[in-house]
Amino acid sequence: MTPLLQQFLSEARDFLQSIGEKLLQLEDRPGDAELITELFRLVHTLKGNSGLFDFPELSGVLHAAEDLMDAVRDGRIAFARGLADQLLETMDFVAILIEEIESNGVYATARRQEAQRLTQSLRNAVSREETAEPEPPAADAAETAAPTEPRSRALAGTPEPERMALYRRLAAGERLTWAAYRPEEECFFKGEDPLYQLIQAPDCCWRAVSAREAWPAIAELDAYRCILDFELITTRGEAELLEHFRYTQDQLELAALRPWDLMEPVGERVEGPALADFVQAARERLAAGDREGLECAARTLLELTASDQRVASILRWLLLALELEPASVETHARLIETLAADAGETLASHAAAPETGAAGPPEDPDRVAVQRELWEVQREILALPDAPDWLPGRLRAVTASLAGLVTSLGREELLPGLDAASEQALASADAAPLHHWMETAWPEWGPAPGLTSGGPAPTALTTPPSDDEPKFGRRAEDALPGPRILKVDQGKVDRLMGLIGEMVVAKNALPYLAARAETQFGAREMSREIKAQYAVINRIAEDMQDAIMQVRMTPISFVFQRFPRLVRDLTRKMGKEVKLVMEGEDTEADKHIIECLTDPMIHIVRNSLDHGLETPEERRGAGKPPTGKLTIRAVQESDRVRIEIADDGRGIDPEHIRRKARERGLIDESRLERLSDQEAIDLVFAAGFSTAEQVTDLSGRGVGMDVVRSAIAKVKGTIDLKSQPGVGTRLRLSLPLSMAVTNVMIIRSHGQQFGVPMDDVIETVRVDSAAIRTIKRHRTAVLRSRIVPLVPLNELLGLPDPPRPNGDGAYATLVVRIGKEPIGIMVDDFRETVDIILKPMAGILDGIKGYAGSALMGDGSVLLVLDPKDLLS
Amino acid sequence: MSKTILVVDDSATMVMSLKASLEMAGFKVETANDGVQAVGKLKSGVKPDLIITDINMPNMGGIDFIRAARGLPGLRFTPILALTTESQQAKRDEAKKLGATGWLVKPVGGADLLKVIKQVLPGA
Repeated sequence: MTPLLQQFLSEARDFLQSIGEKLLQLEDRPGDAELITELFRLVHTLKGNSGLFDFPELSGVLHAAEDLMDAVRDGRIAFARGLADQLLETMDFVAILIEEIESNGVYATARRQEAQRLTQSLRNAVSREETAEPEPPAADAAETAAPTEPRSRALAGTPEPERMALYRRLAAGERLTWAAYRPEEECFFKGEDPLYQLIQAPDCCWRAVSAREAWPAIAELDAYRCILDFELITTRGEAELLEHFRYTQDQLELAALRPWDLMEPVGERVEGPALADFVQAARERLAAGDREGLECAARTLLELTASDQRVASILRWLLLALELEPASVETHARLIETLAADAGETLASHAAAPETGAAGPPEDPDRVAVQRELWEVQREILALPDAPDWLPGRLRAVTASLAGLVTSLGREELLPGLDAASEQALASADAAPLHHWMETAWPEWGPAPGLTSGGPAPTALTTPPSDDEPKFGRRAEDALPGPRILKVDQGKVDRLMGLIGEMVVAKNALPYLAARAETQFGAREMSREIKAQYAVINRIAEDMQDAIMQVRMTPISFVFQRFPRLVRDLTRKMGKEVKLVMEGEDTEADKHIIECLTDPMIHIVRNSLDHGLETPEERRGAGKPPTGKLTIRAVQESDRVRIEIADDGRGIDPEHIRRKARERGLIDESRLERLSDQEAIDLVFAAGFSTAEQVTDLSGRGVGMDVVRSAIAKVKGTIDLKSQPGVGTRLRLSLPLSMAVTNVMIIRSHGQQFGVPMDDVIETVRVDSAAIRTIKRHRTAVLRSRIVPLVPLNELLGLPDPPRPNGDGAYATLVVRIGKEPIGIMVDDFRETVDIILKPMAGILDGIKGYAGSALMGDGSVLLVLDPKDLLS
Repeated sequence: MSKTILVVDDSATMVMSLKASLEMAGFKVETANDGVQAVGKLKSGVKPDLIITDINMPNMGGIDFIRAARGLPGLRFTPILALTTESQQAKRDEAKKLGATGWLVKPVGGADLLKVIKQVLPGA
């Protein structure tokens, strides 16, 4: 799998998650435009990404979903529950595809049909609601703009022989396309480069640039406004040109080049009587189909006409047309009619062009300002701090500008000095000599305080020329906004976790070493130093452990996020109405614990929906609002997370439980009588207890609350159930934040050491042998005014020795809580408590009951850690 | 000297794909996850020769980003390509109006991408 595909899959999963959430939120707030936009964005991006790979079905389905969302966003379709169902189903399907791609690289071919069905139903949803599909075929728009009469002044201005050459090509059957590209005035601000576009246009046989309007005076000239029109003729077709100018199609005019477009007569208009006669004769010959006669007459007239006359030009075209396209009577007629029109005009108006030309630039008051500005610009250019490869070119350009400027100021005597400075600058590849020349040649224009002109200043650098800092120097990157989140493979964190565990164990060896240094080698000084060093390492190790634990912390929303969907789907199926309230989603706990929480919590929520909450009718009957309420809340309490799942449903009826328990034979009659209501309710946690009257497809999956409890217990959590018939049920889970490190108390019994998790220990007491009573063959003692049964550890472990009292005849007793009841475990002696990394039993030891796991001690020995709950059950 | 291209897209997949194609073609690639981050990059001294931006992004979308970028000094003439899908004619027009040079249609294949870049980036 390529990294790109991996990235796509991981991102797709995030997207699907968000899409699901957003869809549910949208059901609560159907009109929320922001939400709809966001939803569209997610689907859109996902679809866009899918296109990078060859998963046509995946893309197809997403595309249809995107179109649907687009229609919703544009208000063409109202968002309704049905649509949400459809989209959710689609996203579920996409999730399946993603999973399959993840594990097999492809999805099953059988998915195709399903994809087709989904795509179709999404498409139907769009078209059903929507009548007219406003899909303007974009490419055709330019096509239909019918070519009109040309139009091209630039083409007319092209020398006749050139146009004639083009005409020959046309007549030879070549297809030529004429295009006019009229860029927007603001085009430079869109990053367009019209000239470059023109130059890049393929296979041009003719190009022209012309100004759209008269050039303004230089002071008013806005160099950032494009007033140029471009034209070209190419052998390529219109489609290719459209593709080339794809971003500026609206500024493009296209037409197939026609002969007539080229036949613009040029020259002076002169009227002569012979012309009228010729026109008359030519019309007759054309009508009679006498081409030869026409040609002959035209040739004769051409010989009589000065070649720079307009008439001559028309005749030349006529002759060429007769030669190249003898059949094209229409063209011939047109040319003759042009002649006729000329003949009809009696006024030779040839005075138009030359008269306005020679006036010359007037003495503009702005002129000085412009000159000064030009001067300043050159100075700025010279002051640029960089030294690019093209520095010589830049220096030459500046020299040329300065030379022009000096000339326009009438100070030609300065030119030799400029030349010398330029030579020098080029030789040393340094702007300084030119700069120096500017300072001395024109001292009155020394460093300007600012530009005097109000004209468009070309990105004026009004900073001093030397040691100029680049304006946008790279600053510290950390100014960048956005959360800095690192996605790390879980394996890496686990490895880090394992290493820190070993570190903790290794550091625990130091106190042993210190003790040995003192007792075995008598080096007290050394012993103290080792202990001091140990304190330092211990602190660092603890900080490190804490930091890594923080990395593993995951917000509980990981579990919570699936509930909105779950609740929605289940209640819909059961015909119930439930409002889900979630609080404290950002509460964090160790990833492992969060993960272990998922299944039990889903089970609890299912139970609540299935058994706890009633249908709207039932609720109304009970005088409750028809919509039930399910609250899921997480809070952190010191080093534990507490999760509460509460509903306001029918609650658990203790009588009902008692009856069930009796039916199942879970408990004997006599004990059943004595059970308090709470104790009866707690029976739901008993193995083999399932209260469902009928097995529904929801919670009746052969998993009871006993499994929930043991799953919670596995991560050292507790579960607590409170219920009041008719009012509701509340389940409370309490879990440790992290279970990476276990605090255990070391005890001795039968000459061996064992660890007992401190979580399980309520207190340690020494029970005087005299205080031990035997009730019904069980040893008991009264502790804190409660009767507590006592069990020797040796007995639990099947060791032959009786518990050994200490010198005062007292037994070391560990009081642990099993369920609600405290029980005392008699051991030989207590030792210190230590932090250990508990490793579960593995291999053949896995099946041994009564042990939570093992840990490596600082001195290299192995400590077996007991699981009192397991031992005593 | 290789040209720098700033790629702005909220989807890491798209960024990864574009980056790979562009780098293979010898461009230097800077990336940002949304408009806000992209503007931050531009302000912090990244000077791209070309910007390719997605349209639909959280925080600051492509349309707003193009507007913002055109307002920054030194970026008035930098070509900007909008990443769109074939269905987003309206967005294209809007982007164009705000100063985008052109658009790319997702998914962008390597060859197409370079062809378009050649069209808008002289000397590339």
